[in-house]
Amino acid sequence: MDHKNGRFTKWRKAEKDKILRIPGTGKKIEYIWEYYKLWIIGAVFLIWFVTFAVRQYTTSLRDYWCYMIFANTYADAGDHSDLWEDYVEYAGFDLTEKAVRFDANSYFDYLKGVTGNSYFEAFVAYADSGTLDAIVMGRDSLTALGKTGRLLDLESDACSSIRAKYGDRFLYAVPLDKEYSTGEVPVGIDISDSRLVTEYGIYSEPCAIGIGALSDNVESVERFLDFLFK
Amino acid sequence: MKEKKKMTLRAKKEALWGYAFVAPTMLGLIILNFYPAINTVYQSFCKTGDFGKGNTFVGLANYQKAFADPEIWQSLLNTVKYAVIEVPLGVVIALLLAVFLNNNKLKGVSAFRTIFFLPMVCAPAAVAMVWKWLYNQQFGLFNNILHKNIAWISDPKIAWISVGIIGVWSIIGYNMVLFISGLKEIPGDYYEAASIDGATGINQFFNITVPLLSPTTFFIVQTRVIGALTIFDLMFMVMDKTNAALPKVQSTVYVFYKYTFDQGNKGYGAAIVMILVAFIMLVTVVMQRAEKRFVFYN
Amino acid sequence: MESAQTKDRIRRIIIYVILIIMAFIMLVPFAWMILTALKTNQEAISVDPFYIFPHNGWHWETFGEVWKSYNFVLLYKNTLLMILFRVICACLTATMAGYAFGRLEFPGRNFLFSLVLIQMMIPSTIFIIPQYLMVSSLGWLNTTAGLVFPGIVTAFGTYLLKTGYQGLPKDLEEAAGIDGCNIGQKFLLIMMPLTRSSMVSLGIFTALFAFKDLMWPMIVCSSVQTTTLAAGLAKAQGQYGSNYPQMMAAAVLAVVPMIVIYVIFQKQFVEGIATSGGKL
Repeated sequence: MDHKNGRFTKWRKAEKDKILRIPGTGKKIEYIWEYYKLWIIGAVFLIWFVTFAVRQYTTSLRDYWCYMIFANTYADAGDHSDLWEDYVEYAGFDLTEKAVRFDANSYFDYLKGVTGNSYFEAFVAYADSGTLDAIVMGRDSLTALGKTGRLLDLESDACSSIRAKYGDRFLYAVPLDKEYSTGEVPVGIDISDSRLVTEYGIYSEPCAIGIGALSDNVESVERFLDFLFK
Repeated sequence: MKEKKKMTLRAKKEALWGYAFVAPTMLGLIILNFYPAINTVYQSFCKTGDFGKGNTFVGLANYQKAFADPEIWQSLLNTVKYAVIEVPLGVVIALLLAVFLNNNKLKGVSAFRTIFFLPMVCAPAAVAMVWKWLYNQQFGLFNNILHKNIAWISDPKIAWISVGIIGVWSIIGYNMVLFISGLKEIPGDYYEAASIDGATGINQFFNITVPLLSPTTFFIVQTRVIGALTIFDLMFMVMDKTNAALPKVQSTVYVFYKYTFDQGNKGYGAAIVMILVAFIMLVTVVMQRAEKRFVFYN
Repeated sequence: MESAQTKDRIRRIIIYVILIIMAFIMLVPFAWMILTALKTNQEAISVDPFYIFPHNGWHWETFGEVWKSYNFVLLYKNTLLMILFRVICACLTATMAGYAFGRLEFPGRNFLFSLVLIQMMIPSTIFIIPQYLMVSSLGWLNTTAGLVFPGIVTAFGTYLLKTGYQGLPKDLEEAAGIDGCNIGQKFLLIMMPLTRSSMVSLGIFTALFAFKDLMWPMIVCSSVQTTTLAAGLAKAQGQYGSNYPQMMAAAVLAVVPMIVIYVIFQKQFVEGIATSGGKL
């Protein structure tokens, strides 16, 4: 085994000497390219990637005025849809400072089971990380979803002004967690007769809106409700 | 004296290189994985704050509840049963296939290698549909061939075997790729020397391939044991929520998922994960001990 | 001589029979995908599963429809970029750490390696939300950087490469040490090229896991423009309802680049013999 390895190292050294001995810079580069192209390509890509990541880090918007999910609809309710444009205009958000995100690409129904549904997993990630401000979906699906505690209890202090205006539209659910409450907790607001249905036609069935349990932008959701019922 | 000082200097240098080499990986693992994991440990001592209420510290209550819950123990048993089917069968079949396919004199070897790779890239929906059809009680291929009326995936007594078979099927390709790469690293002259000595194929297999491949085999067994004990997606792919056999098949991660995701009870889910990780660590320690006895390093 | 030849031939036939049976078993779901893509939706959801082949003509045009209705070029681009960077990052970090764990002595080595093992034991779902928050605070949502982020390091790869380095003969390094290489040179010039086939399988697995991962791209790239094939198709499925032939046609089209990548990598396996093992 020994002599082989000696030969191997010698080969490596010989290669280095060979590169140094090749006449002409062009030839040298050609040789290096021939033998080390994978390394060079990898390094170039890596540098490009790091530059890109750093630029993203310095330029992108990280905060949201409002992050909403419109689940189980095939209508256009995403960013830059009519609904989005009108809401941004109504609320007067400065989009250079923070973003407004409408996600209409989400399909799950808690009533039918959600195990392994990636849309539901995404919803959980948004809700549990505090990104999600509100979710709109069918009325029964929403109250079923509310049982898990991922929607804000509308009795809480943060919602006092919503409660004053829309308290008669509240929808209730009994929590899975019996220690929280054995009675009904308001988790959703019925918006079946709002402009969301009548004017924009995003939903055709009775629908409701729930606020994310860890949302910081309850005020934006209130403005959205005002906008829907103006 | 001088000799010793020189050695420590060398050892110091080696240690420095070692730390430099593991630094990126360890840093990445700490930021990406261990910080979240510690978060989960903390969560396992908390009652999840629902409806926007904060978490409350409850001490060991989640663990007490989990230890008293037969569902958790049953799921651990199910997971072990699954691993007992998947790991040995998956490893042995893959090893045989890899040995066959390592023979470059055989025609069509690369075509076979590509075919065995296909299940890994198949859409999970297609895999689930095919297996549901094979196992279907009325129309399924298996019952039609056997002229029996077996409820393959809804009879609690055999459902775990049926799920294990799907696991074996879907893991063979993975193991095979690893075995082939391990076989490539066995120096060819060993075989040349052996065939000059007149050793036959089967002799070569047991005297050269098996011992020289043992580091790779151990790696595969170790990672597959961990993989099998954290199995999850197979369960929901073929078993509906209403399936009567589900309690006898569901893995621990499935139960964790049910609590954490479906029901939003993150504290309890975290406690389940901690129990599972502790269990896997125990198994791993035993395996690492065994490594010293059974694995051959140059 | 004669009998040895016939024995060899018989053995070969047995091997072929086993391989062909296994190949058939492995091929079933893929064939199912293609056959379903060629059916009408009615046939695809039919209760009688002995409808294996399409009855009302073979609908090849589904592939064309699907190609037009999904933005495949964009999805391919996003996916390939993610795979490329994940493979580069994973191979780089894992080969370094694998070498250190496999060949170098340093205090705390076993402890650090046990951390690597523990990472593999934790169900990856618990990492998702904290990682999402990190990506979000870095401003990498809806970018390739965000997609690559959790794949920068790999515990699996570190372990794999450690096994690869451990398998190399001891005297190899000693010889290099005599020739005056330091540890960095030894690693770069001698040891690393010899673990090529482990690196190739790490490349295959990294690409494969990245390709199949659904949850992470789904969460980090909420916009269809920036997401990967797996997540893009899942999103489109939700959009177009459960049209099985379209779903399967899209899945077949999505898989093609992965198979090409595998075939390329596999060639590396075969070439690997020339540079590694005892041939030097």
